Amino acid sequence: MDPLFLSRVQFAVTTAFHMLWPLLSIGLSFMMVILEIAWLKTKNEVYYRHERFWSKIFILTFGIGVASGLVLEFEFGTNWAGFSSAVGGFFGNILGFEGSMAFALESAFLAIFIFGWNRVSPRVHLVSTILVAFGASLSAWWIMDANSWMQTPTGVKIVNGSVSSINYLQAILNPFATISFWHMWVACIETTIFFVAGISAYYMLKKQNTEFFLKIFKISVIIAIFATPVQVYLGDLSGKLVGQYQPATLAAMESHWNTNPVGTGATWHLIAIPNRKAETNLFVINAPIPGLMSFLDTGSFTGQVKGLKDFPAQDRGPIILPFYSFRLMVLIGFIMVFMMLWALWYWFKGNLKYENTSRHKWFWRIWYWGLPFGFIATELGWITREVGRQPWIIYGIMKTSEGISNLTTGQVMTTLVAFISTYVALFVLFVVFTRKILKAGPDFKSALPDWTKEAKKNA
Amino acid sequence: MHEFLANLWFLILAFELGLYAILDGMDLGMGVWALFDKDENRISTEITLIGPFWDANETWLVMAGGILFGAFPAVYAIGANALYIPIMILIFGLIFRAVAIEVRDHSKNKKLWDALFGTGSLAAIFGQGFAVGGLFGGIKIGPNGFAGSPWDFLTPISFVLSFGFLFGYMMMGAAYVAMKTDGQIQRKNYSRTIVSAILSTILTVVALISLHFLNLPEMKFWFSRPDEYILTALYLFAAFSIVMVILNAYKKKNDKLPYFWTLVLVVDIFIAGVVEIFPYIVPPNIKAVDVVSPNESLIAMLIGIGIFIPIIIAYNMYIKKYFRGKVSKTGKYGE
Ligand code: HDD
Ligand code: HEM
Ligand code: HEM
Repeated sequence: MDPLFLSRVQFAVTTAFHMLWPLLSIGLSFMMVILEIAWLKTKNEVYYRHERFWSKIFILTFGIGVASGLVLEFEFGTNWAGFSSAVGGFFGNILGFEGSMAFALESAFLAIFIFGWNRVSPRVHLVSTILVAFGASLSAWWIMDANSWMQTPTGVKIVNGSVSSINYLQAILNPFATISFWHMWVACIETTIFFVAGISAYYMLKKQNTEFFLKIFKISVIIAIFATPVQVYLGDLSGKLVGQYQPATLAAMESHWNTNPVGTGATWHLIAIPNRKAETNLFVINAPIPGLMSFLDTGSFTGQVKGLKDFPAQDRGPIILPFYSFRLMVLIGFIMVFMMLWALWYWFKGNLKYENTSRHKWFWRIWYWGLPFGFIATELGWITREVGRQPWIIYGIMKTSEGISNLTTGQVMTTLVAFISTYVALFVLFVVFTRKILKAGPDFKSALPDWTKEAKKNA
Repeated sequence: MHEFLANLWFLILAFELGLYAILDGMDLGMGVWALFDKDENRISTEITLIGPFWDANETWLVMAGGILFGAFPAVYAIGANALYIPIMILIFGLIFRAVAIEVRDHSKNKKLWDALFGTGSLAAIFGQGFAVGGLFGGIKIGPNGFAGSPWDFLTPISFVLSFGFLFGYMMMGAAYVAMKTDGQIQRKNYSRTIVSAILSTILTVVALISLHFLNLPEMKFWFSRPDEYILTALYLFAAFSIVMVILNAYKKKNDKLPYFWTLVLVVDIFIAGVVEIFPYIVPPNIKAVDVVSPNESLIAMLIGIGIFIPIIIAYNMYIKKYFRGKVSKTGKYGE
């Protein structure tokens, strides 16, 4: 096994793992802001108890997120030296912006958010909570920007293996940047509300603290009314962008071999088994709507979608992985919409009243199973995006194989094994300790923060 | 202009790394002391001290990484490639430390997490020492980037530097705990400050002597360049600061002074190190200006990073204000 292959696997493992935690820490930090405002506005203690309860899980998530994020930052240099020295003059800046504008803000105000309850005034605390959430989301913007630039690299001139001039406006506002950021950000929100709602459903099934968790379940459903359909819309926009800027990726995502002739529509495959050698699909099940692929990818039932045969064989990346990950993500996206609608319908029928929660087992069971949906969809989305763009590390400019460092197989093998075992251990730890937090349940007894005395003394 | 920007970013990078060494170095030092502590309450106290800040402190490393990546991409790439092993040791050390801090409080079996907290900190320190040592020891560069062996970093100088980092960080950690606590735990940390101050002095002297055997082109002018007067002054002042650290820790009159003097000492040594290699970013032959990014990107970084540095320092100081004073003995993380 060569270091290139191993480095790719290592990058995939470490990013895929890192990705799990920002999903929750961005989403939960946003939730904290809502809960804290609700508490300060209504003076209803239940919001405060919720904030403290979820913040325990937030802290765990955050810690693992920081630890695994640090890995990625250095991995660009350790494993992708060719890539880093070529584009660091732009790409490195963006990571630097992320550090100074986002991480620094988030990690500093976290001190007040977690430890400041009895030290600062309510206003200072609320501002800190907002800054933590803002910092987290801003970091998502910059990292998505960097990654989007790798997908649609505009505005940067590379001469003799390093950046020679940059048009910052063009590079930062590259074609993928905005939509990808919003798709990712909404993924964070959506994943978090399904996580929170899933845990609430668990308590409904266990018949513990039902009144308490019914509250947060309803808040989640309200957020889902916006988040779930918007995500489908943003996904659709992403797909159209991919078709426009990375036609080869789109063709792989759709396992689409032959460009449809003008005036006809391309059919959307539900299932396909592509064969690279024969340059065709050995087996397909099509969607019953003619021209659906054209419609989804271009907006018109007869729009042209380029087929894989239009690209030289060495520029075609993997097909099966993007094809199925894409479809599964979309499926989950729609399931989430339907679950939201189902919950709304139950709500209007009065089934979500406190006294009715012990009934409707299946409703709660399915929401409980929905707990990991967002995580899975996100991972699938990233696989689609990253695998789909192969063999390019910077689309159309640099091949992945040119980006590699000079490493030995032994080096990368050792760290890869170490990462996998550490990450498995961390994942298990997270599950064990989250279950502990859930078993212990919310704390209703501890005193409310003493805003009056302590805060005055410190202010 | 180009050379000015290159040197400016070299100095900003040095500033960030120095700040990191002061802030997180102290946390890592406390982590190592935890390995010597049998008493759980004492470790709890240390964790209470580190808890709110380790992440913000670590962020200076992340920012320094970003600056190196953006301003000196070739150095970042070739350096990280060459120093693969020490950097991975650093990373795994930081992962374990972070997880130990976060998880410890939820766990009944604190011993396990204390051990992980300590070894993680220790690994992070050695990762840093080996990385800096590897850099000073020289990196082989061919037409396609790094051309040496993965074990090139293992030189005598990197061992000397690693132990230097270790004792320096332990000294800062102990002095900080002494400042923030009282009673028996404070007395203990006064003695720890003294021990580690003596050890780090010895290591610094050894490091200096071996550095001069490195034959950096600059050093051929030993004692004949104005730089060297500055350096001599800095080293003399370092010697004075060490005496002040030890004296103040021994007298136990003012609990802020030992910490204050360790800070002075570390800053002084750090400046000496920077003067020693400036303007070479990879001694002995690559100057900062030879490998810097184009002006546009350096100016963009001044806007996107440079102006934020004072702002970040300001809000961190504002936040620290709420955490003044002594810490309670069995403070709980997450309170
Ligand atoms: C959409 C969100 C997102 C994505 C795709 C990534 N990250 Fe991340 N990252 C975050 C969102 C985030 C975050 C939510 O902001 C974290 C989690 C915990 C934290 O402190 O910030 C974080 C932490 C985090 C840290 C630690 C920061 C600290 O010490 O405070 C680093 C160095 C990185 N990330 C770097 C990366 C790199 C190099 C990535 C890509 C390859 C990456 N992240 C993908
Ligand atoms: C967090 C979610 C992410 C996941 C799950 C993910 C997944 C992957 C996968 C599976 C690969 C391997 C592709 C292959 O070799 O076939 C890869 C490669 C890579 N990705 Fe990502 N990625 C993520 C985020 C990012 C981000 C945010 C960036 C940039 C800032 C990025 C930059 C890269 C680079 C540099 C490579 C190595 C070159 C390559 O193999 O393409 N990734 N990623
Ligand atoms: C019907 C619904 C959806 C559609 C049509 C859709 C479509 C897409 C498309 C076309 C891409 C870009 C692939 C590339 O760049 O090569 C993408 C990426 C992605 N998707 Fe989705 N998606 C949907 C639902 C979801 C859901 C529910 C989630 C998570 C909760 C999600 C998370 C992601 C992520 C994290 C990425 C990678 C980053 C990005 O491009 O923003 N998607 N999606």
